[in-house]
Amino acid sequence: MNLEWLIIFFLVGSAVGWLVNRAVQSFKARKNGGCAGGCNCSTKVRPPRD
Amino acid sequence: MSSSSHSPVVALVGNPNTGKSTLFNALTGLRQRVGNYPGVTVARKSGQCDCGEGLKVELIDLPGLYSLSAASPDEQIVIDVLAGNLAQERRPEAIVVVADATNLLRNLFIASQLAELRLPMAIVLNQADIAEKQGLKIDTELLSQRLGGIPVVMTSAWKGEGIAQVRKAIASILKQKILMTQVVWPSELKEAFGKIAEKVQVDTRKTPTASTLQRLLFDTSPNASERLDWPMSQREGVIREARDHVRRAGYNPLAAEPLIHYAHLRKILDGVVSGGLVRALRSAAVDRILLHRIAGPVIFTSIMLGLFASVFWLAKFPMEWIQLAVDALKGVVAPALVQYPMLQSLVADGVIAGVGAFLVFLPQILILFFFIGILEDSGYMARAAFIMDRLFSWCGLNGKSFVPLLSGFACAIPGLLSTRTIEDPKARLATAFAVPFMSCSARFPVYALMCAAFIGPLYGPGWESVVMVGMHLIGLLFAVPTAFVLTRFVLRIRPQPFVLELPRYQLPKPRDVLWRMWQNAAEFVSKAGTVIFAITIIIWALCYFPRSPELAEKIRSENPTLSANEVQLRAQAAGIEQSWMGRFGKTVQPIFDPCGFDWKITVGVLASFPAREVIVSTLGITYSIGQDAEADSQDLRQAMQQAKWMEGPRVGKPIFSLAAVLALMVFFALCSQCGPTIATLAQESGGWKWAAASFFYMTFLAWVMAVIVYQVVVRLS
Repeated sequence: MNLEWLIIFFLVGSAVGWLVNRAVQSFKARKNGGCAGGCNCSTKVRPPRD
Repeated sequence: MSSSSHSPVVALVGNPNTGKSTLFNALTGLRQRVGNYPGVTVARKSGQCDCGEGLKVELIDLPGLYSLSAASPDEQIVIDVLAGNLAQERRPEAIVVVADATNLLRNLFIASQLAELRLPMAIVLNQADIAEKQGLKIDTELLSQRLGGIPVVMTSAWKGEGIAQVRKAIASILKQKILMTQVVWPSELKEAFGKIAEKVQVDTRKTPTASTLQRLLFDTSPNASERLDWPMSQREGVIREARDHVRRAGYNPLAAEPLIHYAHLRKILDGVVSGGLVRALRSAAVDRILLHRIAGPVIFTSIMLGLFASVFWLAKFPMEWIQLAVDALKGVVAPALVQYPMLQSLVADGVIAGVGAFLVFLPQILILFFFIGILEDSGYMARAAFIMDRLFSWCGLNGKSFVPLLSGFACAIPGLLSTRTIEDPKARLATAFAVPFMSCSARFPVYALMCAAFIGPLYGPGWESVVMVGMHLIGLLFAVPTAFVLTRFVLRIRPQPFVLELPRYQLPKPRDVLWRMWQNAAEFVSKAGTVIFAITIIIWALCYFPRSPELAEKIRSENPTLSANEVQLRAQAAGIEQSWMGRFGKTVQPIFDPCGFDWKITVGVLASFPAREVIVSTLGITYSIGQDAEADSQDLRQAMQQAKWMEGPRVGKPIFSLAAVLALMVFFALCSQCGPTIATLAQESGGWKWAAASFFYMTFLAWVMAVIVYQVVVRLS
């Protein structure tokens, strides 16, 4: 495996890992009743749960 | 038990935002207690107020409300406290109504309703300083006289002006027990009250008060009946009969109460308020046009058309500059990586083409939010809410559904979260189901790409805004019947009244408008640099691998006359078809074939299920990697315009025909393509059942409508 393959593998792996981690964090944030961001909403609404 | 438990209780009541709590603080100083009403999370604020001559009263600051037609827990508490329904709470001996002096008619509505409770009352006209600035003059003596002699006091609570007079007024009403003039009900309504009172006495052995009878006749919520322990089986027929009686007399039972109270108040206020009329009349005159039943929606649609036309027109050149910058960057980076073809493709065709295709829409986003900021700050958005509420109330949604639905136009997630303000769980669910239909800003780049590439060049710039407005309305068009069926036949919800405070018209503040633009631009750019960046890398990999190194050699041997560059481009075009994404797209494409989508659009559609706007970068990558050998370096719009069917019955014809473009936009307008929205819907509805129902319903509906649009347009053209 040459350097080019290594760089590609690293970049694609990082992208997948970052997106998975982000999805998990968003899920946790939503579970606590908030907007996890990255959803294109301009106002982060965090109303308290009843 | 505190010493104040023996002192008379006086309640402060009024509309929200009248300065009631400021007045409460001024009257009680530091002698306050804050707790909760039993069983509910509604704050109970009380404090001791010294009214002079040794009279100390316990003052309670009740939550703000517009009407006694209670729906929320806050509003129900006010009614229960004033009616003495709470076992652990002493019934107030008097009421102080705090009204906004700049809007007497609307603020005295609650006072007119409270007069039915037959409790001594004083009126405090707060924000007197603002009224004075507006040139308003209020004859408090005349008003007091017309209201039956109850004290009327002008205050400016935040300045501490008029507080001593309020103390005196409280002492006076407790001593003299002065009651406010009641509204005179027409005889037919009195008969209807009588019919209900008779049956309540028979069924429950309780004597309802006049106020309770009004709630039973006018309200759609069962709160008043439940307080009387009056079973539905016994009350339903009686209330229906009483309402029919009211209807036969020419009154709408759901609208009669405010109409009669306002007619009563208009007579009272005649000659009481003077001056400041120019501004009020000007505002009212503008509202008469902007809120007109027919002119209102026409003006609203025209404003939206103008808004989108301006967005396209003003953004044209900045978009071209960004595209030039993207091309220039590609031109610099690609040759530098020529030794590493795989890395070159990732950077140039993947990241730069994908992120660049998305970032090109930044000027449109900036201009869009600039205009939205102006509309909101000027006070027009609240009027738009009022216009749209007519539509929503018709389809059975709760009046409070408007705010979540309006938020849904920016993003479905804050829209779904704001459904928590709706008290009725069924109405909350129906609203949450309708919110994802609203055309969120993530759909904007998709529409903008299609309009800029096809609608504008084919039919002229005016049609871009027409199509844009149409795409924003199409979600509404389907949300309304969906909500109608859901509320009427599945959840069986009764319509709820909606009270909306219309803010004063004002000149937008440049700082606020620019701040809104900045926030949205930052969100857009940050998304391009994070989520879109990561997704483009993954999509590039799926479009690039697996790739046979012999492919270029094979093309060269088959076409020995081709130049090295042409061989490379043909190898790329053939490579993407053999990639994982290409194979997957070709396998799934038959499902989308009736919508006129080729395998590249199919790939874009499927890649967009986590987030809609991903289609723009996906198309950017697929058209960048798979550019035709004959084509020069071109942006996504040009590449799409030149794309042709390579096989099948449509071979040689443009892929992006008008029919396919409209079908694609309709599909994106209706499809449930947002992972976070589905997750939030599941969270807000308390399970995955409704989220799954929403996903499958919207996706199926989107496919059906895309097929219909494509087939109809193909046949018509």
